[in-house]
Amino acid sequence: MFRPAAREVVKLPTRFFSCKSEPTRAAPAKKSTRKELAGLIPAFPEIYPDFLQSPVWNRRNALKEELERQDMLERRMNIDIPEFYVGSIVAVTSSDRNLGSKEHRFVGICIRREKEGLLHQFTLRNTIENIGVEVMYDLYNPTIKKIETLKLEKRLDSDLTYLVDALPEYSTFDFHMEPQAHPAGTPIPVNEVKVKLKNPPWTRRWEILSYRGIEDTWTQATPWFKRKLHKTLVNDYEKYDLIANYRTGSTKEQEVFVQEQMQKFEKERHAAGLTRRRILKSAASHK
Amino acid sequence: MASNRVAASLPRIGVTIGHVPQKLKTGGIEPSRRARLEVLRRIVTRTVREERVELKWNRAVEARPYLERLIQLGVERGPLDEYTSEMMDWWLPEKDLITKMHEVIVPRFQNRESPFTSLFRLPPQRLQQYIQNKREVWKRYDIGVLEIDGNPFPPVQAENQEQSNSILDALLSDALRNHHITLQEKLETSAK
Repeated sequence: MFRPAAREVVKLPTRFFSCKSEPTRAAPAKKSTRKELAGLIPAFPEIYPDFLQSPVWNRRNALKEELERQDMLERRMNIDIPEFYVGSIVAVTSSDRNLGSKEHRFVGICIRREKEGLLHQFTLRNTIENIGVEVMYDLYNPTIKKIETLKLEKRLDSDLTYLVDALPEYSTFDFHMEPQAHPAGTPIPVNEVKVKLKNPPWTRRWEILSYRGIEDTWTQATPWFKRKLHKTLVNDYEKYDLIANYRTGSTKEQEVFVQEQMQKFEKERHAAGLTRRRILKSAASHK
Repeated sequence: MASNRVAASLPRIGVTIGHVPQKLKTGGIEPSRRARLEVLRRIVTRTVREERVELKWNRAVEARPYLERLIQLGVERGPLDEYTSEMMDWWLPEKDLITKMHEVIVPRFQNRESPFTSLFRLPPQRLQQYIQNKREVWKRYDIGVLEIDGNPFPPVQAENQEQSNSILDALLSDALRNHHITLQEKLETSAK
């Protein structure tokens, strides 16, 4: 049947835009995907900093990340890499052909975790015979035999480099420490200890870097440092720069993508009957 | 570097974001990163209040991701979250705008994905700056319109009109329209 319609011609001013920005129609209403997917870990970037993308945008390369991720997953099938954070006490056993026992065990507090992908590094610090020792390990170094988390906890900061200028008691740990089990499903405890620093000069100006785990740096600073600090810009407002954070951080989509890949990898290996080792796990969100 | 991050990450922002923060002219304030944030804060506050603003193009491009992120925080984490409320307090210094954000703007986007804003380019404006020894100095400004989607104003960009007056085009479009209507009717009858 034919229905001739009165062709209403409304002349609206049409303008052709030469911009690439998305107009309203480019954002169609989609079904919300905000429901938490099963088995995914909210604290993923903290537990797996090695699976994140580079904070520098032009170094992000999907193919490189994919290849590295496969190698990392293979390695994680061969060695149990436990969950640990900056501030946890970790023991690393690595093979050393020059020692009589052919292996070397080092215990210390994890003070840094840096770099992404296969090059991920973590640094352990301990005081041995009154000398501070820091050992930097590559997480995916094949000479590492065993990694144990002796005490699973966090500190107030995500970088404890300042322990180098703190009193030695804050970085002294017993090599024969018993591992403390973390009850599954409970949140990771945060050790709110505030560290006392030695007298300045320090290796870095910790007082202006807004660390929460340092006790009252201002009163400890000598007048010379106080005069210097007086001239320094205080960058308190930088935390309000929402996009500066976005430029270096990771996105939820990427995290979900990587976690699904890890789950798939695990499932394949379990189905093949080769291993029952689990890669993607979190003590806090364990059920 | 400073403190432990606790909350889960946010989704990506569906807007072009350059990898270098652009310098903005700050008009009297000593140029710094602080001044840049102050300029952006004024733009964000104004946009939340007026919902559609006309700005210099580069400022609109630079302010848009901040506005997106602020809305996204409201949508993803809600008003009770500590970080969200801190950011809202700083970015929207006028308190009624925080209420507006949580009660008017965020509910619009509950089931929507980013982008929550639109940016249009207007024709560049040429303005006379000053006259020096009978020499007129003009300057060209690129103008952008930044708006929050779902605002009550008429659309900036008109729908594409049927331009053709040829009989063939008219018949074809009518036939298509009739086809759609009959399909709709069939669907309705089958649903009953």
